Amino acid sequence: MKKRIKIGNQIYEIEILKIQENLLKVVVNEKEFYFSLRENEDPQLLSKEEIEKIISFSKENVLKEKKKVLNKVLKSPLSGQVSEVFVREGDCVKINQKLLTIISMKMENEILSEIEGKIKEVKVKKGQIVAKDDILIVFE
Amino acid sequence: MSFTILKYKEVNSTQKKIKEMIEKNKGKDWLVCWAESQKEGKGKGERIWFSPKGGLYFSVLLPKSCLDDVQTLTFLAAFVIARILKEDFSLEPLIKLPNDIYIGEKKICGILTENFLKGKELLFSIVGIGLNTNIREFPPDLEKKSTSIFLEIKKRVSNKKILEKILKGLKNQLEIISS
Repeated sequence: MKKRIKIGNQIYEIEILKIQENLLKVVVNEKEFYFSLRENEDPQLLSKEEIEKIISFSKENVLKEKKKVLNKVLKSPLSGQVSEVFVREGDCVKINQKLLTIISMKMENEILSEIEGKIKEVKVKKGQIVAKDDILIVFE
Repeated sequence: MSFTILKYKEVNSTQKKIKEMIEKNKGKDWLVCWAESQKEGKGKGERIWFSPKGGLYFSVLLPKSCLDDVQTLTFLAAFVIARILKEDFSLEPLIKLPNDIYIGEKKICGILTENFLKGKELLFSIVGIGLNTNIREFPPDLEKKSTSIFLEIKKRVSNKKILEKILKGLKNQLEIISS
């Protein structure tokens, strides 16, 4: 939220934003200043180089996090028996592609892929009984 | 919300028909595909449900629900149909859990639900029902294990009326369990 303060005859429009855990952005009349935030220390004004370093480091972290999300597993949404497996290790699958079918109490459950990617490992076989949350497929 | 009932003379399977509608973005809540006969009516797994003219075969696209509610509705569908058989035709149906209906030792109705999940998210559910209503005879391999309302009471019945009653019953049950 922007605030206005008056010092002498000059009016300053100030906005303070915590853009990440260790970084504070202060905007004074549309000019940006960055301050580092460390525990038990007063905020320190950062130079241009220091700011770039912090921001590129956090971008890298975001990318790492994204990669982590993609490297995911498909867990069984319910208990039942695997009646069909339509994919194999090494297969590249698309979103909504049929992966396997689990029969549970007369319900046939077709499990479709929620991601596009390559299958690293198929953990189950046709006929296998699975419990809810068992890992079915691991993606690369 | 009312039902949208599409009636066909013959289809491969009413389950497939609904899936085709969904693929064409024509699926909607309580869409019903009803066929006078099916070439390959879907039974459990790869089995085919005997579907000559005379029987009642239909599939219903359910409104988006959670998996537990769909599971419960699949059970309750058997109770809805058994009740109609008992109250309207004075039959003594037996429910073989989870959801087959027998008269004595002969099967009269099969219910099958297909769910489509994207990971854990339930995209849609289709309930398929095959009820032997006006079937006058079964082939030798089914003769000893299948029956129909006609064979039990020696009278023809209205498939349309039974369909409407079942749909109403399913809708009521889903409203109760998901409220």
